[in-house]
Amino acid sequence: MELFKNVNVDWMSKKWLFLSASLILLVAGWASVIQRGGFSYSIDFTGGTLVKIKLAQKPDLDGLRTALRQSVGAADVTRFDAEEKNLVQIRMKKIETEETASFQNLGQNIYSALHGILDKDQPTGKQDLNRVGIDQLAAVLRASRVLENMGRLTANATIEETQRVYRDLAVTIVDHRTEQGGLIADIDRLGSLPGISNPVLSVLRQNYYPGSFTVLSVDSVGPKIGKELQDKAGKAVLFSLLGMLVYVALRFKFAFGVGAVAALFHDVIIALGLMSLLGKEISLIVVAGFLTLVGYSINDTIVVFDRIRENIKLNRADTFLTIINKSINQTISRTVITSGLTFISVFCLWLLGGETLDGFSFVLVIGIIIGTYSSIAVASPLTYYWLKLLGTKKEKKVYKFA
Amino acid sequence: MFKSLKVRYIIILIVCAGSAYLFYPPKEKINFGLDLKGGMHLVLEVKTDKVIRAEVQQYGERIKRLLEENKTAYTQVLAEDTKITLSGVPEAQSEATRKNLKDFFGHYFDVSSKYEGGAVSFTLDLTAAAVRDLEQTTVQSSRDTLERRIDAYGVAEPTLQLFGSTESGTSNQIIVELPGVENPEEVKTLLKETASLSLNLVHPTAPYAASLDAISQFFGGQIPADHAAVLYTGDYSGEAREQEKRYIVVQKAPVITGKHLTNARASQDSSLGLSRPAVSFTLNSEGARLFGDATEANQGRQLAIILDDKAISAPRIEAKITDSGIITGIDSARESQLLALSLRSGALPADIVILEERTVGPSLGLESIRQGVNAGLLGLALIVLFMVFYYRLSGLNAILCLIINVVILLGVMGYFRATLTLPGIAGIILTIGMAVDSNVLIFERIREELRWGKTVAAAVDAGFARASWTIFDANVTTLISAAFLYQFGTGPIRGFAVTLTFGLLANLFAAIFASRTIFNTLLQQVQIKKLSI
Repeated sequence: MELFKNVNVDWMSKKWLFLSASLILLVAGWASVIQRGGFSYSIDFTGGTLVKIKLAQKPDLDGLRTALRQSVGAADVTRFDAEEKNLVQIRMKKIETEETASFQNLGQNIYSALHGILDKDQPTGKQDLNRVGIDQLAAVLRASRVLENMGRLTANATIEETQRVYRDLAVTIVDHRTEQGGLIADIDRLGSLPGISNPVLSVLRQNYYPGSFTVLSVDSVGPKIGKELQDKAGKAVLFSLLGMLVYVALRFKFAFGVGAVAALFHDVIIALGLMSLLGKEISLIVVAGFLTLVGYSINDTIVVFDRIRENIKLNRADTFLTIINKSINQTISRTVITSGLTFISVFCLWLLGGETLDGFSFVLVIGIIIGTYSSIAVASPLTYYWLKLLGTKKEKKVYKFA
Repeated sequence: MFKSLKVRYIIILIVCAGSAYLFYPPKEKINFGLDLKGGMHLVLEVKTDKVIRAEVQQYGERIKRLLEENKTAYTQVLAEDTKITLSGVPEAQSEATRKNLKDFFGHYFDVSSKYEGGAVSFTLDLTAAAVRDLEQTTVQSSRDTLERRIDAYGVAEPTLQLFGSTESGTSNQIIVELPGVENPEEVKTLLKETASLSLNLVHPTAPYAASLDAISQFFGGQIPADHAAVLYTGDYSGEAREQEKRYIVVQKAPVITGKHLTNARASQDSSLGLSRPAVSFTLNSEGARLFGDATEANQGRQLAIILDDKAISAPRIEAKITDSGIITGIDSARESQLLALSLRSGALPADIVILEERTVGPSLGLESIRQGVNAGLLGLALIVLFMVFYYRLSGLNAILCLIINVVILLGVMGYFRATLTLPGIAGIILTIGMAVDSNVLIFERIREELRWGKTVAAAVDAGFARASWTIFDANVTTLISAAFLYQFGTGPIRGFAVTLTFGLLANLFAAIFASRTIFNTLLQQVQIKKLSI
């Protein structure tokens, strides 16, 4: 099967169309950047704290927000991911200095605040089964001597054996909790697990209650790290663009390096604008997405340039314009298919890869489309005009501008 | 190269079998990152500037002693930041002083001098090398102390790594990665506690006072130079603890410090008829001698136990104690365990500040793995379908190469014990998408050559020859950006850069060597006339 047969398009004559398309994309995105007063950066760059929690019940966002404001401070409380998962993220931005106690203990304070809101009716003598660790759980079970009383452990069992058996029991429970996404809703239902008999359940009930939320992750970034990262992110993207310029200039000609890097730069700034337009945050992983995009997006351009170089040797009579058109037409099928296949994999990643990778895969999803377009619409025309306007006599002889 | 098909297949077989061996069993060979298995990632900063200032202060004292020993006249020795100024040395003594300063302090300080109103003043600037030296020692010994504490606390496979840089070029940040930590808050407390312990005699008559003013008043305006007021957080001989701040006055020179401890363990103090959490300690021989002398000479006086600049208790000395003692004034049994642990692993030479914390619970990690695997499988399925549909049997060739590519990638990761992070999984998925790109470039070229009327064998030859360079260029550019990614990122993002790099290198072998071998088999052994492409 072939999608593209004998393509014969005069790409170079469509420069005004391309220019306006790129401009529209650029203006649309950057208008939104200006309207929003800059990019929205994640706490990776601004500093702050992000706590993700999972609740057993549908969350009352307003209630959480109010209660948190009273105890910890103003927090941005939103739901994320699929609705039925009951996931909430709490974000607190801008910490003045690392030394302040609020930064150092924010995770603990947020937990306490949430506990006060969500589990305030729980008996004070009991612990949260959704927070206890393996070691503590094993110790509590062991202290109850439940297995000895049941006759599952004989009186002359060694200390090591006793420890191991109780630890195994604790591991069974905690592993089950992990499987359930970190929340055990009902202690009684643990009865279906191997080794959890009624006496064990009653020990659990005596000492624990099933808390109604669990902390999935805590990220706290001090302003100093944020500043450093902002700096590093910008530099990393710029230096990788520079690296591409040098490599393409070495393998081809300087003018080709300029065309290729201009196309990359075009991809990066348009994708940045679109990120803002679609309300996506710039985080560390998004920057990683951009760096990956820079490395990948240039591939199509290299395919076209390779063909231009080959065609110049084969068709000495043709003008540079003809050669460029011919080269793009000859390679369009592989350009589209290779990009399409990589697009499929990042699209799947975006669709199913989960919340954490969302920004990363999204940059690549839009970036690959723009990158494919720019390798045709930006890289070659720019190289053409660069050589036409700034090329040396020798270059003009090789590349015929009729 | 490697004309013989047999040799080529043996190479492919060895590479694949070797990779599978390096990767098997995956549970042992693949090291999951903290974002997948759950754990805590901390970036700590060691506050070296304070240590350096304290060091310079001490040098100031030494200079004073030196001057006094040599009976040199001076008006002032002032130590500020990294600079010591010595002023008012008479001209007659200035040459000898300069020589002395250079001899004794020249290895750490730049010594300069100038005339000032008939006398000479000297300036000693801590050299950049000395700053670096002090910073390095401080950070290194902080790292060692933290490592001992973490080991004692019991975290499986912790990693500590120096990172970041100060103005002088030393790393002053420590990245701590602690897999599977169950109580993040406790660990943070443990890491930040300086745990500098000293036992100092309490002034025999000065009162417990609510304010520093009250204390100065007691001494008639000025606390004696060899004494200092410290915050007291302990009980008052068994009375209920008072909430308001209280100070006591202690001798500046400690009887013993944490350095004299050989061991410390959590215990109970039952002296007041109550059983309260405490830490018992044992002393080395020097400590035992100092402690014995002091307790013998000062029976009936109080001895303050000062931990991180706060007196946590001040028991009365009732008898001579030599090689062991007990620390009281601790709130909970858990606290006494942690304090014993900190004391055993030694005090931190500098304050530690947490710059960044990232904690992931195990359930989120598990969910991430599931989502990543699902995304990868769907992507793989769609790509396989497309390749077989579009390139028919040659598509199968590409799929085979894709499998070889992934097997090698996993093998290399297993060999290097590379850490697989969530972005790393994304890297593998991306590798799947990019791996077939190489095959597409080759196949499209072969189709083109066939269209131009070449024989199957010539078309395959030309296809590989022409496309190889393009593939090489494409992979190099991606490797360049992967290198910047590695440089830029930490933890998870580095994991991505690593899988991407290994994936691309494996791709060169799979797409150029393995795929070619399969085509050659078809051409030489099966002697096909028509290529299914």
